[in-house]
Amino acid sequence: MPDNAPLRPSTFASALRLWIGMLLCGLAVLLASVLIGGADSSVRESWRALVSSTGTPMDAIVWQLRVPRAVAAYGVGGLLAVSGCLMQILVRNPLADPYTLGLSGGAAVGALGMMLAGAGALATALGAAAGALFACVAVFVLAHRDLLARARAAQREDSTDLILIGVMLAAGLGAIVSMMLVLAPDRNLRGMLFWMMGDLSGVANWSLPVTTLLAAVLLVLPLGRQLNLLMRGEESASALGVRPNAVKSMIFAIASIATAVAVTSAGTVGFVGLVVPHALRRIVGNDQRVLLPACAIGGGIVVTIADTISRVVADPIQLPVGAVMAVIGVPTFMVLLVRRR
Amino acid sequence: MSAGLVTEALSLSVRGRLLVRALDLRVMPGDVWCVLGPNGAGKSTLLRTLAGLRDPDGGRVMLDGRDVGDYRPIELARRRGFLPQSIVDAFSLTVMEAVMSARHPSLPFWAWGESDTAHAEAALDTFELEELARRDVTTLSGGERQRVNIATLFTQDVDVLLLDEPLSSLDLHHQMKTLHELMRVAMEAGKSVVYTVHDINLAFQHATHAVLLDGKGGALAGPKDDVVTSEHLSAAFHHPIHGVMLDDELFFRAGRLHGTPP
Repeated sequence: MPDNAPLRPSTFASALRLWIGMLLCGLAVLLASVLIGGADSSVRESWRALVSSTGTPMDAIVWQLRVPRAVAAYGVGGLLAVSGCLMQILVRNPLADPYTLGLSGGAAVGALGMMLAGAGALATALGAAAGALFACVAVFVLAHRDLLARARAAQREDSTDLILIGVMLAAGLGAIVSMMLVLAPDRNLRGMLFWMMGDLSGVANWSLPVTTLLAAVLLVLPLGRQLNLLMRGEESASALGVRPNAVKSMIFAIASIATAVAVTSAGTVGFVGLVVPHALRRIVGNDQRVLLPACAIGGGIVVTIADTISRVVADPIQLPVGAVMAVIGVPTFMVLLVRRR
Repeated sequence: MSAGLVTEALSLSVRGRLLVRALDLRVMPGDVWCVLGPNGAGKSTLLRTLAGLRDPDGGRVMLDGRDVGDYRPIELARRRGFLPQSIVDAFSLTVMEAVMSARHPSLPFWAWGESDTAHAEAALDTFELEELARRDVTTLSGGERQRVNIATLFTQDVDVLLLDEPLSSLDLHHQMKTLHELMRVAMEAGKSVVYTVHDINLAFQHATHAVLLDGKGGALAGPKDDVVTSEHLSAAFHHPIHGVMLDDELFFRAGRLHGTPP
């Protein structure tokens, strides 16, 4: 924390200014994402198609392909960042995100299983959602049994077990995914690989991620002060009037649904849940009331940029957005890790 | 019913081992209680039970005539504060943010609480922490962190203060300062204070009452002069402890063990 940090803790007015500023950036990025396309379309043409319906093919490209895709990318990014931030508070470990807790692995098994069975896009999405929810119920039930057992013991330690259970589950599910890929017939393989690396080209319901994101932020905002306390440990939080198990169950449920919707829409997109909350913690501080909405806005910005790059850079071939995210995310995260104190 | 923090026939056991049998306490406003006893005797367990963070294994704990288990957590947090033995922060936050977090129970649900800094500023001033207010708590030394945690408890502004080892990692000056402040809020503001401690002499100088646990079910409680005697201490600690008078003040001195070099 720099020495010139304000003495007073964050005020609502300063938080609001930050969010509005970030939101304006977000809108600019969305606009850019809609305007920028492959080599055969110019920004000027795209702009004309965006502002007035010209009835040209460009019109359809902009309104039926790029706008839904950009909005979906934004929602997915926001959901993953919020979910990662919540999970980091939940396990009080900076390395937690939807991946380390096994949620994405569960989604992958569900979705690939449906693809193997030859099901369509909707069944694949449902399979992903079911897999993600199954994985989080499994993690939570296992961890919760553990919490109950500890409550009876003398010392109620903060659980690092949740993350261990999650990591184990993720490893197991990863193995199942590998087996599925080996067993899959060749014609399914490309779709499966793309799904696993994150793919926004086939988003079925483009408004779902954004609406879920809005709902998640609205649900989480009133919990902000309690999350700030929970972050400092369960014992001191419960001494200050927080019901740790109730709040933890709630944020776990929100984080799980957020992840389920994100992976259902875009497949597995890594590193957003890890990199965005960490980077923002360094910039805006660690008040969850400020941080969570900032994650929602910032995560959207990052994934929208990554998706635009994945569309444009190797045009006409589209790169999987998850791979682009990882290429950006891994070095960023390494820098963050190395520079951590 | 009577005011204050009261236990009736309180029993505590950990993993089937009985630590405290039938303890009756009456902690009144203005009282400062120290809890003494050997390692693992149940001092922390007693404090957490008094704080309502743990159910008693027998008997009851009442605050102002009402069972602490019947309070909603947030109501309880407006009445009593608890200093855990340690707070491990996994993420950075500033000292000011840490101290301000204790205002949570007093704020309305939707309040941001940015202007409610009076208690926090007073507590930072008391514990000589203004200089550190902008610092990241994870970069502080152990003693500085402990002072931040004590200041956080004072910021909560409650009637009953329960402190588990408040003196750990503090230097001599801040040990005396903390104990002085605990005595002061009890005498001047009518707060009730209960703290666990290992230094018998510091405790004896800064308490009105004492609890002595022996870890085998035995628990003595009452005015400090009745409880803290060389006889009781020697029995509880399994170690010869003698009282000596120095400048008209009673001090306790542990006897050297045989066979150790002088």
